[in-house]
Amino acid sequence: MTLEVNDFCMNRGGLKIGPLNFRLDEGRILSIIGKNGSGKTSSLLGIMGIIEKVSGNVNIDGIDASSMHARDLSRKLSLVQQELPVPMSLSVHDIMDIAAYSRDASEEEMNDALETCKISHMDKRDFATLSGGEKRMVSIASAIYQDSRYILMDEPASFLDIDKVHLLSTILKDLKKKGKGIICVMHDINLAASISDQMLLMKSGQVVDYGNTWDVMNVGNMGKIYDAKFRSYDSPEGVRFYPVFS
Amino acid sequence: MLLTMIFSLFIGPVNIPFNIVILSVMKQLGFYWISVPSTSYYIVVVLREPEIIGAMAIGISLSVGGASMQSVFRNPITDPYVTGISSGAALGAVIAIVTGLGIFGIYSISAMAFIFGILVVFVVYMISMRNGRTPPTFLLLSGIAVSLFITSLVALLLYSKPNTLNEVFFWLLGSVQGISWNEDFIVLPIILACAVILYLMSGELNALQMGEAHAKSVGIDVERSKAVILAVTTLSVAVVVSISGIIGFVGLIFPHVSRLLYGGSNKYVIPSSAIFGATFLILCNDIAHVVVRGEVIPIGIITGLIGVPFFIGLMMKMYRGSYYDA
Repeated sequence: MTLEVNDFCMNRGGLKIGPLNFRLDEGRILSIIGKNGSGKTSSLLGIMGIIEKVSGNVNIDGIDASSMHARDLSRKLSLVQQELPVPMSLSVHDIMDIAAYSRDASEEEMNDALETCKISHMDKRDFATLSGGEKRMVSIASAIYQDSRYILMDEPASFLDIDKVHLLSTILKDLKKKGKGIICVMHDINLAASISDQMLLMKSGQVVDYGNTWDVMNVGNMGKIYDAKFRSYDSPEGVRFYPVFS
Repeated sequence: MLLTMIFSLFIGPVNIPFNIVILSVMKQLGFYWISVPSTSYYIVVVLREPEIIGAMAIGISLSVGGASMQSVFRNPITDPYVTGISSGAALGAVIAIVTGLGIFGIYSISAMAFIFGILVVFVVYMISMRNGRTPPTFLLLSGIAVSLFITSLVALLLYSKPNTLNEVFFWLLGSVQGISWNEDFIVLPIILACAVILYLMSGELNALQMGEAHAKSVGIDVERSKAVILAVTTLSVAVVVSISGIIGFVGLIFPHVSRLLYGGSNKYVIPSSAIFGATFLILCNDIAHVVVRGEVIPIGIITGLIGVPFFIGLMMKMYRGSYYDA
């Protein structure tokens, strides 16, 4: 089971994005990194079919995504947005309900998803009253509950405290074990490298490099995509990168 | 709501004793041997009852329509008229009044209001369509723009025939007076059916409320759902506007009252705001009957007078509480 992105091109506010070429097998994590405005979020929205493509295609388990009905597509793909826009009062429970729109899900599964994200006690809370980090966990719980085969996450670590970042990486590893394929747009390159099997490096809408994490994560590539000088060092948890401003 | 409906049977410019009202209703329900004064029977059964049913239907339609439009447009200050339906209906009615059009007999004004209401929503929908999509912001803006344009047309028509001002003025204020059983029999099934459809689509409405990207990602066919919701709401509200004119505030307020009481899920907002809206309009109709002795003032005046302070109070509460994200 594979999600394949082939020669996928888009146009977003004058920025030409692509061609994107990559494949994600189930049970794998792919991270997309690059500067702000390099087309990371747009790429996710393009794969979801929310932004129109110019050319190319997304193939999910052998089926062209653009030919799939919304309901079937949502069984394959879910999206964790950078921010969940909730303009009028909805409770955490309401939001979880929405996630199960296209499948028959049990209350138990909902509780499991909430428990996984450690937000069971917030079930009845109005979403608007939650903190940034809590909102983030709700949107991750909602994607878990949607139970699609592939999950696209836009900056899942933003707004999160250190302990929640740890929780997030545990959740991601767990989802991976359950056979989910995950694409993450990430800001923190070291976190991205530590959780990902593969990396896609982007700059100004173009792919700079793509491959297995430790084949593409190097000082040269980091310097290229962020226009800064990088150094690396070996830590007990693996190689770490840091920028040098001088 | 039922209590209000029963209570309202006793309210009207003509004072009918308690027991006569009860007897009239019993006679209507099949106890044909009961004898009541024919005038009282006529007032209760032929005049008051259909008005109460009409007010109920209108309250349901406007509240449910308001809830669905607020969800689709993700905007708490929209009402069911936002897509231009009220201005379209006004134009239709004014054309009928000014030209003295009679092709639909005594229902000419209603028919024209209905047709033009739907027509304008369709035009607004087509204007905002781009590549098969109708982004809510564009729909909202074109709804407002087209409404303003049509309001100018209405003004122009009125300017050309100032002698019709009175009639048009009363129509625009909104009224349930004179609604007959004949109208109820057509209007009520349509409105109830539309309300049930929107209730059944509360899952879609909730998802749309979280933005089209999220709605799509959970499996909603966004454009199709939106089109169905708009069509159903438009039909229901066009029917209402055609029999009652433009009654304000009901569709704006009651979805919010429901959200404050029962939370934001349309599973609860739609049925509860329908009941609140219906009860409110029946009560407003009672007030319209008794506030000036011997006269019935248009219900649109009452809903505005009561609705506005109520709405401001509600805003205060929203401001203090956590109803909206800062």
